[in-house]
Amino acid sequence: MDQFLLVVEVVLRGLFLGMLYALLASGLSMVFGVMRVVNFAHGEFLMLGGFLAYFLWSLGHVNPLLTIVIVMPVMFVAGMVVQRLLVERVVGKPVLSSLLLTFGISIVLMNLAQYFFTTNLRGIPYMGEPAQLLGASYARYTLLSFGIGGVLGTVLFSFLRFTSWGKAIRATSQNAEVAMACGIDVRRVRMVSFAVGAALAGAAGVLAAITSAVYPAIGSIIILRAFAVVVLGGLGSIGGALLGALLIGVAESAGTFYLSAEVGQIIAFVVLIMVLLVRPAGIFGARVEA
Amino acid sequence: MEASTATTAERISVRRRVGVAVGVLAAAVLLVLGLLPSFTSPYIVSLFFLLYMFITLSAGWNMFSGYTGYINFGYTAFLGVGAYGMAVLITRYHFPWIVAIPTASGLAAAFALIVGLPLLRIRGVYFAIAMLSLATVVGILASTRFLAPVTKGGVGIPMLSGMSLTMQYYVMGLIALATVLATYAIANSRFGLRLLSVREDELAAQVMGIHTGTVKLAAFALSALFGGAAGAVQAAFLSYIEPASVFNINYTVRPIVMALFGGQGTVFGPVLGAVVFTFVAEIIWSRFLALHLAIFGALLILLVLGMPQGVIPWLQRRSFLPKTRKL
Repeated sequence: MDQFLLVVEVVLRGLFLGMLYALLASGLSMVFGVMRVVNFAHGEFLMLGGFLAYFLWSLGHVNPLLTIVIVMPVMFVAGMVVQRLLVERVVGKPVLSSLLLTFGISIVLMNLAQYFFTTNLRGIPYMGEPAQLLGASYARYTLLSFGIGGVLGTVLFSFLRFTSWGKAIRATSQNAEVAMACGIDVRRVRMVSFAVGAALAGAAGVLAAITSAVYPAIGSIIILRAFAVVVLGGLGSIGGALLGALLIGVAESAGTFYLSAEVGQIIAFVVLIMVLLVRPAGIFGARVEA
Repeated sequence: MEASTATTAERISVRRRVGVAVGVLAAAVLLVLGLLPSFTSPYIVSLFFLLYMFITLSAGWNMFSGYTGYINFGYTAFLGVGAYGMAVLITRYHFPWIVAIPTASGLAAAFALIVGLPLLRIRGVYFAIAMLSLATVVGILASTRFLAPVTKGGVGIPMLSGMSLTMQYYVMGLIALATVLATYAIANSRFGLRLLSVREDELAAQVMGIHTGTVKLAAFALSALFGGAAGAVQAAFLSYIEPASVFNINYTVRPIVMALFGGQGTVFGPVLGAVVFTFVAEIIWSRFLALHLAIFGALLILLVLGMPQGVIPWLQRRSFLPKTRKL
């Protein structure tokens, strides 16, 4: 029985971890689906969101949870600006162009954050009391962030499913030319998708600041994991990204628990490479030409 | 009729004169570079050592990715394997460096053969991400306790290679020269044409009877051989290696940026890019240390948006340079 509860704990911790990846990966996947751009700078939106939340809390004394309400619109606008000024220009260009462009954006943002915010770790102490769940205790903020992630995921899903913007995004993702022929303003769809992705990453940043800490390099570390998640689920498939995130979260938690912390770190990539070998375009992915 | 033969003869003599001029210039440059350690400071020698390393990496990356269009976003894995191979061979097995460098490069190539066999089936952006993941995995593996008996884990390996700075300079220079010559040979061979056909249309190439799998794997391993050689000498240069210093995304991205600047899939593009970017990076680094990454990133953004095809193809398109695969 103890053994069983231990497994439950490992799985739950994995799901909690996976929710953070899911928020990041769903945006990443949506951006790829709509404009075929792999966004290296996506992790930096998480980093900026986290820092914004931290400073709102420490300087402006805003309730840590309420910062989400400010962070998401701000990151939405930031995403819109970055997309229109820079990323839009590499749509339809070779893979290398978008990889290098977004990599450039990523190191600019990271370095500026180091310059202005220093490399210190910044965490928001909030809801640190333990709570019992299925025979193990977790900090409340873990459960809280899982809940918020779940709500945001549901909102995103309904947005894509039921609103006209959502339909336009899905249509563009399936076939941009046909979508254009149907009267969808594809350029605006690209901008909005990118902005929604940035807002979700910003929300993930707030959760990261509450559950652990943010620092300038967090984006470049977590983005690798998010890539693994997205490719695992199939680039452009948002449902796949959610599933992939939870799967990777659990695999990582199990690897950390049963083997070692380093194995936990690499398990995502090992799973990714294995999946790619069997299904070269991810579990739910469409075949994408170079 | 006579007029046209005269122009042909004229053209040939112009070409010959250009050839002689280029030859003389190249010989002069090689002579100066060869004598460099005898009349400059160790700082300049180290700077040129870095230049040669980046020429090797950029040309080595280009040899596979530039010609086949398969974006290797984990090139640092080969550099890392070469560096670790060198360190382990020298500290554990007491190889002399002159044997250790080729052995370590061979290890990197063998590693590429093993991982390339399955991974080269993946295409496009998936291949880029798979290679990035591979480099991350190998870098973290080198720091785990599972490989610690060989790699000493995260502690790293201090080593004395027995090479002086001058010797490192010459060896890296020769490796860079070999990489460029190999690229030249490939670019003008049937093998090079086959690689280009993979880039243009892999399916059509297969239909025409090219074993694209074999061709890609061969270029991949060659590219790794040179990356591994650069890593081996770099290990001697650093005299202390740890996972983060040799499995570093900088060794992937900088060579790519250099190749992109000069022109991917050209022989001299990566050389040009390496020359420009090594010195530019040195200036930025020494003047604006705290913001050097941001400046590099901004340059990268400008480069991708402003001149995505690279200098040499840009000049070729405007007929300032001959449209030949020799360049």
